[in-house]
Amino acid sequence: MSELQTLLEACRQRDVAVFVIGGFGVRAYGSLLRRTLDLDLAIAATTWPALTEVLKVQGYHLASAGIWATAAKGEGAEAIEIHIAVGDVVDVQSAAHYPVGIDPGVRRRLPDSDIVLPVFTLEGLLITKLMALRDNDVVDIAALLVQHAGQVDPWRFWNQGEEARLKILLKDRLAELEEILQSEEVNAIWWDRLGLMLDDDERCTALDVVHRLQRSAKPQF
Amino acid sequence: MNAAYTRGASPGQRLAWLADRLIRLDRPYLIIGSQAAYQYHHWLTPLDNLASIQVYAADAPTWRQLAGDGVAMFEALPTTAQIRAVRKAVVLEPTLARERYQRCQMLDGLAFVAPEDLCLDLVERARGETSPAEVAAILIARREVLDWTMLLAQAGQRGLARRLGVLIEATGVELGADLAPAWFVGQLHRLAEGEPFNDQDYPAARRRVMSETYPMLSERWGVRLRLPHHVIGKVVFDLAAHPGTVLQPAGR
Repeated sequence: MSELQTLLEACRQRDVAVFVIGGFGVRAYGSLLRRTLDLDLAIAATTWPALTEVLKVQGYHLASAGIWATAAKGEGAEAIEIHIAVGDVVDVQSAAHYPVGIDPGVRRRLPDSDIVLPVFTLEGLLITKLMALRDNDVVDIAALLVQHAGQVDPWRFWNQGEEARLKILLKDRLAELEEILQSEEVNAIWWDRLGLMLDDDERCTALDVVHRLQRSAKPQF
Repeated sequence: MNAAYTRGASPGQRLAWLADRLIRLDRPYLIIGSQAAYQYHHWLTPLDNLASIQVYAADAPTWRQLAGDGVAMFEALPTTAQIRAVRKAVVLEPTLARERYQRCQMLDGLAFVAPEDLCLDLVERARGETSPAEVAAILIARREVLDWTMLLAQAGQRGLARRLGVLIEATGVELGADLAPAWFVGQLHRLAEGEPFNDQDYPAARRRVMSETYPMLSERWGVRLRLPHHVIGKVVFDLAAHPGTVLQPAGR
């Protein structure tokens, strides 16, 4: 974590706008679920040259790995590897892209910590999770919807979705999510992932937000 | 964030809240589930306030004394809301058997289910993507020290040879290398041929039916594997950050 703080401070000093995504990005919204210890970042393509300078000064070696750039340093238990989405967050399965530049971003404090992270808006985070909708995304989305039911802004969700040209995909994914939440599959996913069942009231809360998002989609889409 | 979940933290540090209580009761137990899985793969972190322990049925009344001082006990599957409402929680499974306990691994004075038994627990319970991914992660991380002979015997005894075999070879596909020793795979396949063919999808509860993944492996092992490539691919990608773990040759 101190490495993350150091890196984010170096970015702030050089005015390099980065977003923390992945597990830490979700955790910044208060979701304490099972996840990997990986550190994932996203940046606008125009910011990449400046970030590479910051990373090199911090001792990282850069490489490309498919849709990610990677920055690595150290070895063994001390090894740190950062995955960086440059320009777009991409879901490999659907080939859907969420352009990083669309998201205005927010700063959120990690629970039980003094660390403040620059992260996607709640709506942007939901969009990137819906794009993939793997089991862990279903768990993350439901946790986010339950915890922030009153804060999800449908107008922002669909505007950012439209700007990313993802409206049709998002409508499909919301329908899938609705079906999962209404079926036994949600408990299978929860049990497999966490060894827990999703509380019925929480399931209803998540469904309510899904329905609110569905109702607020513009009819032409 | 809980600093205990860093790659260097010991089990005693991570489970300090539980260790004193376990030692105080001085009865046989095994730490199972996600806490044990993390101990072996250091990949997907467990919930830091939840642990599952397996105990002898006869000892269950004694183990109920674990409750109190901020620790809640559950003997049925808890819900998310129940876990969020308590500081710490222990799920008690009174199903321990003597042989299984004898295979335990003591780490920092704590008794963990053997990695071979845990892999088979995960193979058996898989209803979504996480359990198969954790099997792959444990096998990759522990391949050099795994007791393959014991894994083979237990897979046969529990009737899990087909499902274990298909997951091992699917992991090999994503790794681009053999995960298990050739003798193990050969003998596991012979065991699998003796198991009844199961025409159910595996994992069982996938709603979004995808075309059969790994079709050749599915046919070879007689399992309708419905696991997207990214599931094990992600494990390999994440663990590849520690090449010493992934790229070692298969052992024993």
